Amino acid sequence: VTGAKGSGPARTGVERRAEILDRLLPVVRRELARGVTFSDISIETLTRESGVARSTFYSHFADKAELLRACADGVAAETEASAERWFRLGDALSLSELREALGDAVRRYVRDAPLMAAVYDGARSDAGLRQLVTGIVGGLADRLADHIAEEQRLGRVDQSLHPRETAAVITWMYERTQHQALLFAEGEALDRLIDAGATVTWRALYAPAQGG
Amino acid sequence: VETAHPAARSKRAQKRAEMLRAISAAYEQLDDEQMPETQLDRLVEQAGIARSTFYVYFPDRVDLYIALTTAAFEELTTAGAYWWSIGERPTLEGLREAIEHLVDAYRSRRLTVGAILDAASRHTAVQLALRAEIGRFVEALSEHIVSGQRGGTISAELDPTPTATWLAWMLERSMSELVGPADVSETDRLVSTITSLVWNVLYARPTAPLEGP
Repeated sequence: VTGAKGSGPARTGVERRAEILDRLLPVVRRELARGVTFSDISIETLTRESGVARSTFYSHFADKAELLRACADGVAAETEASAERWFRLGDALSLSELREALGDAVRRYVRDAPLMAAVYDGARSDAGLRQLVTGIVGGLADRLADHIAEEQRLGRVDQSLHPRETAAVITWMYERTQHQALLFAEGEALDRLIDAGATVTWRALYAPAQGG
Repeated sequence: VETAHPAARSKRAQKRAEMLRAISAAYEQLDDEQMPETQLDRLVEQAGIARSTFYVYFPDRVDLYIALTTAAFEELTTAGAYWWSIGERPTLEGLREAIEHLVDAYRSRRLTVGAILDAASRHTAVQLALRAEIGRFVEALSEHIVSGQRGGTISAELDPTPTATWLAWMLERSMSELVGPADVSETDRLVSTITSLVWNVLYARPTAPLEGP
């Protein structure tokens, strides 16, 4: 526990928590990949496999639900970064660029999709997770709405679309297709789904403004 | 039951269908958005069914949720049939009506669908039943795309099954997450939005350039 690399002894609690999360996250991923549901992963497995002491675990996370929320926060930040890559394409945005950005995001997300599926499914019965999901989807939808409005102003997105509703519909389409279809697809089927997702997005938003 | 006479079996199926309708109607009468699974007995009572009779027909809770899923999707399939019927000469107005039919079918069963989704988050078998029903919708939409492509009303650049998969989940979430809590004017904007997006994807003229500019 001591002697870990760092600039000095005064590491903050936030850094320490992030470090512990980095050790716990691979265990959570491995268990979920083995088909164990999140609620069935025991604290004992988590602490034994990660080498994090039980008392250390509880000094940073009140319970497993808090651990799940912390894991999900990290994944959400990555998803936002992927979305930003899409939004920043500007006038370079084309079907092929969109396909590449989406393919990249999906392949990076594969590792965390079972974890996030547990978050989204659990949100129906757990108020804390519900709030988390509302925050993640709401945040992404807000960014997409801004992107749509901005691109409409520049004449690159269908002017007849309501930005806010369109963004909400598209964001939920991504969430559900990811967790109900992409998660279970491999090889050629996965490639075809990614291509179709890019084509659907392109045709829904951008193609009508291309004047073609 | 397994060895019962066919007539007795169909009588049982009929009785189960009747009970599902009553249970679904009882869900729609609830004031609360959610009824915990543990209070199923109360719901059975509110449906006007004797508990002892109910458990003869639905001994297993998971089986009840699977049956509710199948029944809910039968109504959506009827609404879907209207959509496929506009295929020959699709218009924005016709598509809007088709989407309205889907929204109406969903709204009349909103709380039942909520209960099904809750059950799906707890029971893998319900989750699989739900995915199978969506799969059937994907198949029907995919056939619609293929026939539109043959008739020249739907862009040939679309890969039918994966495209239908994205659109089916878009519709499912639009209903359960967005139309569900929406008021009248918000629902109207959502219907317009869904109609425009589906129109753009399937029926609108422009085809995408395959490479960047």
